[in-house]
Amino acid sequence: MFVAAALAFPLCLVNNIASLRYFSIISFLSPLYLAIFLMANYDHTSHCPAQPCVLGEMISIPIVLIATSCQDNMGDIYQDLRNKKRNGPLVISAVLITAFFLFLVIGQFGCMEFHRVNSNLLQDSNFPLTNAAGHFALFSMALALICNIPFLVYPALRVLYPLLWRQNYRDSSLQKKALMVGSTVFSAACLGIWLADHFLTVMGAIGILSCVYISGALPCMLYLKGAPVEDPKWLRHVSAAVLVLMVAIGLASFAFLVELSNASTPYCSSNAYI
Amino acid sequence: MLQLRTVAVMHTFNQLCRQRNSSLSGPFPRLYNMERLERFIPQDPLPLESFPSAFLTLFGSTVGSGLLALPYAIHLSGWPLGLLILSLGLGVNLFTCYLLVKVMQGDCVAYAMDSLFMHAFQGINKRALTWLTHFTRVNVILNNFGSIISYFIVVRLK
Repeated sequence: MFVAAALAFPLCLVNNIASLRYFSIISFLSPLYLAIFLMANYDHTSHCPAQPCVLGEMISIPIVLIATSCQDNMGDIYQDLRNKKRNGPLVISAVLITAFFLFLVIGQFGCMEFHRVNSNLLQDSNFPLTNAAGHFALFSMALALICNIPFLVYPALRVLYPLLWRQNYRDSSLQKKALMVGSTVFSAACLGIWLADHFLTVMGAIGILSCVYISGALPCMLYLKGAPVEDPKWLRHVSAAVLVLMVAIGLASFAFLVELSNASTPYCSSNAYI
Repeated sequence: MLQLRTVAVMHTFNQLCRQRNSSLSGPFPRLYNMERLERFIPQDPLPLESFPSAFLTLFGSTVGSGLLALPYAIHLSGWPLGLLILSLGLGVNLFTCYLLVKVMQGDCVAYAMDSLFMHAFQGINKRALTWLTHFTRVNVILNNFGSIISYFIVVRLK
């Protein structure tokens, strides 16, 4: 974990998200390789033994929302685009449609083959590490996640700065940035050690507490408040409906999480949840 | 009070950095050598103008540890419902990203979430605006910091 933190540290000190463009190639190729690897290892006799229950469904919604959210860095990417009006929606559609097929393959094939032991695919004891291809899939995904850490540190620090100082993140000195990035990355690594066996709890908590707001409710609120006059009315109605839906999902998931924390027995099946 | 303390800590840290940089004879001289550190920071002054660069960067910020929890999420909700939830999640994200683009296409010059919020709600009570902006900032920090923790849990390979 600390090696990962040390590797991610200099990448997190970038002044602009554009500097990470070559590292995002790894983030694209690694899940692609993992999807191909899962399909290649597919055993026709295996299936995804679903044991659906309301709690399981409620907890899977925030996980899916976290997995597909990209709103935090969208502003910076949009700002840099040439021909924003045409390329903006095109880039978003291309990314999310590609992500949909990739996530679908990883989700379905991963569920069919390695779902039984751990909520995290790479740490599942069924994950085949008997060959070089399995090891490569494991390490390429780990590398992709390390390269992705700056995409999270950058927006977090950019909004943390105005809370602490009256200064812009980009304009601050390298020493100050190094201190902030270092404390963020290494404290996250320490918390990662502490919460190592509670992966799904961390995911559920982020998804319910903040992702529902950042990815769902906030953009709808922003649009409803500042929508251009020439936009069609139905767009306003749909965004209002999405806002209500996201608030409902957030509140319901929170209620289920509270219920879950009070429950003395694991829910849904014999699989350990937390 | 918190700001005063933070300034004091920063001042001490800056002094320490200066001392370390002026003399390389300390016990860990290279640890605080900013010039050395600067060499490892990727520098690319060119903006993400083209479609492939923007695509890869946005894709990079989409892929994360949530992807590795998807098989379990599909297992919990069942295959048909899992597909429906995945479609719903991507549909909502696609729609909200489109709304954000619409907001940014207006007269807005801000691109960070908190700045967008302040710009959109500038007409409301100033005190309420400050607190609501702080709420948005805390949520952004919580979302990203929590995700970093989950990344570190995942990279703790067996």
